Amino acid sequence: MEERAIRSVIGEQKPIFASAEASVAAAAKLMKRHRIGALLVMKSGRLAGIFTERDALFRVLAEGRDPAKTHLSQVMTLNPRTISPDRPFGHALHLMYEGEFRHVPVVENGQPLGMVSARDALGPDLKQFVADLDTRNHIGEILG
Amino acid sequence: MKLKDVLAAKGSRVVAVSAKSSVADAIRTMRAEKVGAVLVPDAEGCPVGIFTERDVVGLLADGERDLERLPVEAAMTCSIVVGRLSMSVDEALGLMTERRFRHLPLVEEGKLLGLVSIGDLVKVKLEETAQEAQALRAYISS
Repeated sequence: MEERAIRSVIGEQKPIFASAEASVAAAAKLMKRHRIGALLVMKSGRLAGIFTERDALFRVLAEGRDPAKTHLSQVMTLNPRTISPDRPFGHALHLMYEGEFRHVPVVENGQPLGMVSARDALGPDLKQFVADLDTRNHIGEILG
Repeated sequence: MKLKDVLAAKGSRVVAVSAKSSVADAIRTMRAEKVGAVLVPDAEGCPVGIFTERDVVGLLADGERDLERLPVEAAMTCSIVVGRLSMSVDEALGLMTERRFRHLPLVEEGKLLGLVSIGDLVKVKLEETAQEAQALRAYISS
C-alpha cells in the first residue's frame, strides 16, 4: 500500500481540467458526467487550484452564490498540496490524512498529470495490502 | 479491526435532517456541522436516504434553482447500503470501492447507531500501517 508509485496508481487516468473562468454550473456538469469529486483548475497554462464537491457545497450553495454566475476562481481551493508521480502512494495518503482532504493533484515539471483520491487508489492497493497482511500472518504462524 | 471499534473511537453522533425539509436547510445544516453528508431517517429513526456533497453537485449540474422549495426526499440518494458493527474495516472499504459510495450508516436491529466515512476508514488503515511498520522495525532491530 505504501510503496506503489503514484504514476502507476493514476495509470492511464485522463486528467479532467476546467478553466478558472468557467462557471460553477459548467464545472458541476463536468464532474457529474465524469463521476468525479474534484476538477483541476487551470489558469494561464498552470494549475491554479482544484474545485471539489466540498467547495460546491460550502463556498457556493451554502453562501447563496449563483452557480451560473460564479467563476471557479472565486470559490476554488487555491494552491492545493500537490505530489510528484514518482513518490510512493503512501505519501499521498498521509497528505490527505494530515490535511483532512481527499484529493491530491499529481504534478510533474509544473504540469498536472492527474489526481489521486482516497477512493481511486483504495481498490487494488487495498487488496494488495490485505494479501500482504495474510502472508505476514502465515509467516508468523510458521515462525511462531 | 471492526466497525464497532471505529465507531467507539469517533463517536456515534449522526447529523440527520427530515425528508420533508428543504435542500437549502440541509445545506445550512451541513455547513453548520461541517459534514459532507446528512442522513434522512424515517419515523422510527432508521435511515431511508442520505444527502451528500455528490447530490449537491448533481443539483448544480441539473441547474436546480429553487433549493428553498425542493424537499430533501426529492434530491437524496435512496438506495443506501448499511453496515453492521461486526463488519471489518476491510470489508467496509471493499464495499465502498465496489459500490462507489463514501458513507456507511451502521444499523443493528433497525436502529441507527452511527455513520462511518471513507475518511474515517482510511485513517484507521494508515494508523494500522504505521503501527505495523513500527512493530516490524522493532522486531528486526531486536
